[in-house]
Amino acid sequence: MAYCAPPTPAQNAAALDHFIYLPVSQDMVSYLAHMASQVIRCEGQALLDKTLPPTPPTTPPQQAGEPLLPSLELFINTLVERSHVQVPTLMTSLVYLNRLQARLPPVAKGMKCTAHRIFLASLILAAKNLNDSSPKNKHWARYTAVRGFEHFGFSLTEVNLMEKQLLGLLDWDLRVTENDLYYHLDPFLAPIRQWQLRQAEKQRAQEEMAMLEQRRQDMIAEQHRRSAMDAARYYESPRSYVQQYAPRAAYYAASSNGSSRAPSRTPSLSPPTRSQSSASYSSADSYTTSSSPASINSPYHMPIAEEHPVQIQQYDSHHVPSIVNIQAPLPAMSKRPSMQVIHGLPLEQTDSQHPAKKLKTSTFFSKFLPTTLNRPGY
Amino acid sequence: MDKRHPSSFQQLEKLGEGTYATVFKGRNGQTGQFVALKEIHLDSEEGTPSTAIREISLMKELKHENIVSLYDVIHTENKLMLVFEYMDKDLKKYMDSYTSPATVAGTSPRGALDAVTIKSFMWQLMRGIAFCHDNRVLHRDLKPQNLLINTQGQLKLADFGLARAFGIPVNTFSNEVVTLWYRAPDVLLGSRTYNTSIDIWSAGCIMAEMFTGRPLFPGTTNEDQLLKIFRLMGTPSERSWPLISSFPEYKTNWPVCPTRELRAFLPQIDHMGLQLLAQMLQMRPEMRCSAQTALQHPWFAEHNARHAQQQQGPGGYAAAQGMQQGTGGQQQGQQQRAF
Repeated sequence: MAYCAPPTPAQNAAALDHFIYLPVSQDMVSYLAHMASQVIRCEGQALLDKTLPPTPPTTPPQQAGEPLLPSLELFINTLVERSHVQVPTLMTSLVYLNRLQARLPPVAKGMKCTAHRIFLASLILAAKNLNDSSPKNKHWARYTAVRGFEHFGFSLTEVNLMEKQLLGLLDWDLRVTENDLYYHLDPFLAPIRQWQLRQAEKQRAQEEMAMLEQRRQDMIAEQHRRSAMDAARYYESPRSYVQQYAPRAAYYAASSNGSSRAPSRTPSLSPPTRSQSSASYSSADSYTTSSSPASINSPYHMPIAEEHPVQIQQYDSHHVPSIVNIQAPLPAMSKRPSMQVIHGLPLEQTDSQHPAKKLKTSTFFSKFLPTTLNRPGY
Repeated sequence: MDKRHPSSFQQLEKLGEGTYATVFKGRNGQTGQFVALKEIHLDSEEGTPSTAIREISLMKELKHENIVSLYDVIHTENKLMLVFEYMDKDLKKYMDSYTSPATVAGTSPRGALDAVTIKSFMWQLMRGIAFCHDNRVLHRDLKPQNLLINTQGQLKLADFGLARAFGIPVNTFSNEVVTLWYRAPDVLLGSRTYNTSIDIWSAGCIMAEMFTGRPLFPGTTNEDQLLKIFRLMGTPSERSWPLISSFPEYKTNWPVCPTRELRAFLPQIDHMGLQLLAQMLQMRPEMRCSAQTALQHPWFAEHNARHAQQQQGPGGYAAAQGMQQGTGGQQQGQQQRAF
């Protein structure tokens, strides 16, 4: 959180690599719905007070003769569910939504389901561009049937037309670079980056702590050894003094290379053990054969104490993150992520929300809705 | 986008037929300039084919003298027409119609090109490939039919229908790529994580073919293709190719062939050329040279030197080009206006 410097490409790449394996979440769908609704102002869309946090567009009231329109979120959810589209393709449609918005004049105005059409066309183009095999448009047309909205849905002809229109509006510019993804997916990548940073910091701190502890132990050992030696050398009596230290001195001398044992002597400070890469320990044996078994009782040591330091390292660098990862960033998005998230994006500034009702002139862009087609309601 | 009608181009003879498109020679009605018209029939169930979507979006960006230029796109109700720069023939036809002095003398097989031409074509081919790879595009279908030659002896990469961008982690790849004879062993083994090295393998096959006039590995099936490769390159094993057994198409019952000398198959190639070819035709993808590395090979020293000279001479190259292309330049101007 305190981290303010712009992310490095490596951090973005790591976050993106993590992100693309996440399952589709409701946060993603809400965000897509919001962004799709921002591309162009649609008829019947409630004007939003800019001082309030944005809310997803409401389902327009049913009017006589007009089929009911499912909300964008429901529409997207249906498409996701039926097409089994994965996060990489689904979220790349964001790039196209934004690219289209940048190309439309702010006064552009669509009809009620224009946002639905724009989203579907963006998703189809993302699927066709990114994947070597993808659904045909006839399949996409089928996926638009939404449960509970019997009269809603796009025909194959309509799907073909919206695809063609989006291609024209984007002038076939469909290339997606890493930077496009880093930029447009930032609301999702940022929490992942932060989480990854925290993990890295924790790891570093633990390693540092282990190192300090190590050094402390070494120093104590050295002191003890010296004083014992001094005692032995300079003081002939009292004998008991020498006896008191001599065994230890011998013990430390014998294990001067057994530095790995040090942390185990102070269990209270040794939680880092688990995340320390096992490589920092010269051998697992130093645990199992350690001559100070009493101190090894700490539960942290149990896995390592066995015999597969290499595997443990794998466990650390592999399994733990992949399990934790999936969960971790999500809570960070909180319950109403689309709001926090959306505030950060520059695309908010479109004044398409203001030019308001008077601009009812159907612009050339409303052609995105082929009203002539068999669904006059849309 | 473009409102112009396809009828602004006069359609002439058919130049070729691909899997999803037919190519015609065409003439710009206004300028009289020849073009290649690639007509893509639109199947209403599919919508705009992803091959066309990629070909257009990629070629709009790939502007290079060794890549064929896309001038325009005309999208109508039931077809999509791509207007390309006109090239005289493809490398396959060029080879078929070519008679080298050596062929006449009986020292070289029919269809084989002469060494000077081959080196020039290979240099241009590798430049085109390097440009694609530098721009993060895999061609994925390099073969003589997709390399176009004009009367000035220029070679240009064409047909980006199977091409695609790489480098972003959001892609999925198919292993049904590249025409069988030019398909790299890792792709034949079912890899879906291949990279630029598959284009290098194809280029190696093409280089050998230009020397002999015959395809190097004319397999009939996936399996047969692999065996033809093994017969020359040797059957790979875990020792020669670590982790090969983890490929989907790995078989334990492959006949064990020894590695043979490329020279035995290609007596026509000089020592240095053979060295370069060997770097391109590596079984393991990670062992194949990159397009940029290939261009730095001493075999191309002369071409690189001449190119560098042309690049730097103040006014030298540009002026010479301008003079040389006197009429061509004018045509170019008209073209600009037309499109």
